[in-house]
Amino acid sequence: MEMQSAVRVRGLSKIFTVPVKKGGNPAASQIVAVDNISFDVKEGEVLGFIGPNGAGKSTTIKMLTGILIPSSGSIKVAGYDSQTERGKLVMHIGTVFGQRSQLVYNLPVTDSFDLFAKLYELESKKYQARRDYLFEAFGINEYFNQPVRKLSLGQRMRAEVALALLHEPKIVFLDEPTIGLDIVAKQALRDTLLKLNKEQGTTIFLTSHDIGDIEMLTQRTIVVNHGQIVVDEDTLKLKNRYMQVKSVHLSLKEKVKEFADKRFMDIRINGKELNFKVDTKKHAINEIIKDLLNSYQVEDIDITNPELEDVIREIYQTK
Amino acid sequence: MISAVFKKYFAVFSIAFKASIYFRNRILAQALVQIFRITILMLVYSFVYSQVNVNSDVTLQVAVWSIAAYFCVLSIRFKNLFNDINFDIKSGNIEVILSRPLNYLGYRIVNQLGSDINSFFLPVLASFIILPIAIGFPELTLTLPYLLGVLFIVILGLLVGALLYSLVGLAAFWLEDATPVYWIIDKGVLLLGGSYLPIAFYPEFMKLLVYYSPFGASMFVSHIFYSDFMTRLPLLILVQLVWIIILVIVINIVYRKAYKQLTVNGG
Repeated sequence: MEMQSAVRVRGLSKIFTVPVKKGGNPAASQIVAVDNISFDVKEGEVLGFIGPNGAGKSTTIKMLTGILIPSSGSIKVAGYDSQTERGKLVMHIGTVFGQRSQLVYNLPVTDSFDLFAKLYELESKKYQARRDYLFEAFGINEYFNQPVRKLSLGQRMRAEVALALLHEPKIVFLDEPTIGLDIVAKQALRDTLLKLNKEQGTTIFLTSHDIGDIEMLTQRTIVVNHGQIVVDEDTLKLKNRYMQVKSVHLSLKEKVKEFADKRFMDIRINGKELNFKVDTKKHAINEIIKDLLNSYQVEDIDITNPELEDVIREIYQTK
Repeated sequence: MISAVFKKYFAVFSIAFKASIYFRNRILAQALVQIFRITILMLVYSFVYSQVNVNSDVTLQVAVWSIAAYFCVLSIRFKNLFNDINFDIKSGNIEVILSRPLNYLGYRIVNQLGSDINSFFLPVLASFIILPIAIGFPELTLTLPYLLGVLFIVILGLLVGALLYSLVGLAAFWLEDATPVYWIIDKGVLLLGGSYLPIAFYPEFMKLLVYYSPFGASMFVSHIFYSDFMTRLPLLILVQLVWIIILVIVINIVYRKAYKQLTVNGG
């Protein structure tokens, strides 16, 4: 049996009219933020929706959640029309806008959960069970009675995501949920999201600037630029094609004058600092690290994913 | 259905009330400002009444208690709705509230009420302690219809004020800086609400504005100590209801238009 669509988008466009001045006279200019895009998201799927700044991803997410009204096209989310059935839609979706908070700043975390339970009309026992489950899953038990203002960014983001999931939404929209988080906090959040997706089948619609989020969380990725879909494919395929090149930074105890290895690309030497890139599709990264540790006295090592902008540039070059 | 909606907004009210307690010093400072204003005006009017033979049925007690009533109600700062709505629109914070199962303006109004209810009771309490000792009570017959009338006038007046300031806040959708519009409305309320001068002292043409404009209607609370209050009560309530209906219709139209042109910047 074919899976139902959690999100169904057809011919979606958004044009903003922006006031401009032409020779001192007021005029209006039109900006096409989203340009005739169509896609589906299956129930239980984790979709990555990525693109550079101004690509139209946030505008799209805001149209899907009923916050912005499309200029044209149709949207069905969780079976509801995001324009005409916004009231019903918001009861079935969860949202996290990474740069804004839904938590009540001066009150303990648990107060925000109590508020949301009333807003989403949750029955008392069901609410308590769900809250306890989320507190456990997101590791909130250790700080649930602390005021939000005293939380670290990582703790706050975990609470934000848990809060968005309180009413068991069919689909959750995460707009840059890992922005500003350190590597440990990012990983903790990713692990919990994956667990929830597996255990509860929650559909996740994710936008992020962090390729790591896309690589580790999503099954499918849509890349947008200038309001249009550039790529829509399986994340694993996308990863094999565009995300396999990792950047390696080594801090050595002694200066290096020469460094050559056919496995490495873009080698740059700066005193004790060594930078290069490795195509992980061709060469196993663990073997490379082992070789380097055997050959050099390494003080520190850092392996990073390519920047989103680099991946998108590469997509353009190969298309 | 109505019960579910009431529960939602009561939850918003409760959480705003709870959060406001964190700002104890601010609440106290705001209350002190209002108490200070009331005390100063009481001293001014006591001096004026001692020097001049005021040819009016407005006694010193009526004049001062009317002004006190104005400033007590002013402690619920619905004027802040302008700043909050303005901020939500300009910063994009509106998306957080729009993603909740609530009416945006309903949320803003109830949230403001919950945040300021603390600031309201302190000046009321202080007025009932200071004024009876200093100048005594105005002549009143406290009957149930009178008390219900006062309650209606206060609640409906607050609603008129909330709608008025919400409407100005929505101007931020079109205007880069809607502050001048806000100033006009705010000063209209100040002038026609009876803040510093009892309404009874106004010339006849200004009294018309007081009775029939939304600015005056938002502060009919300053009329509750006048001897003809009960006679005028049906008219005052009617005017407030008419303005509530007009403002709700206008806000509805404006909000729908504004919502269509909402822009929220992302990453």
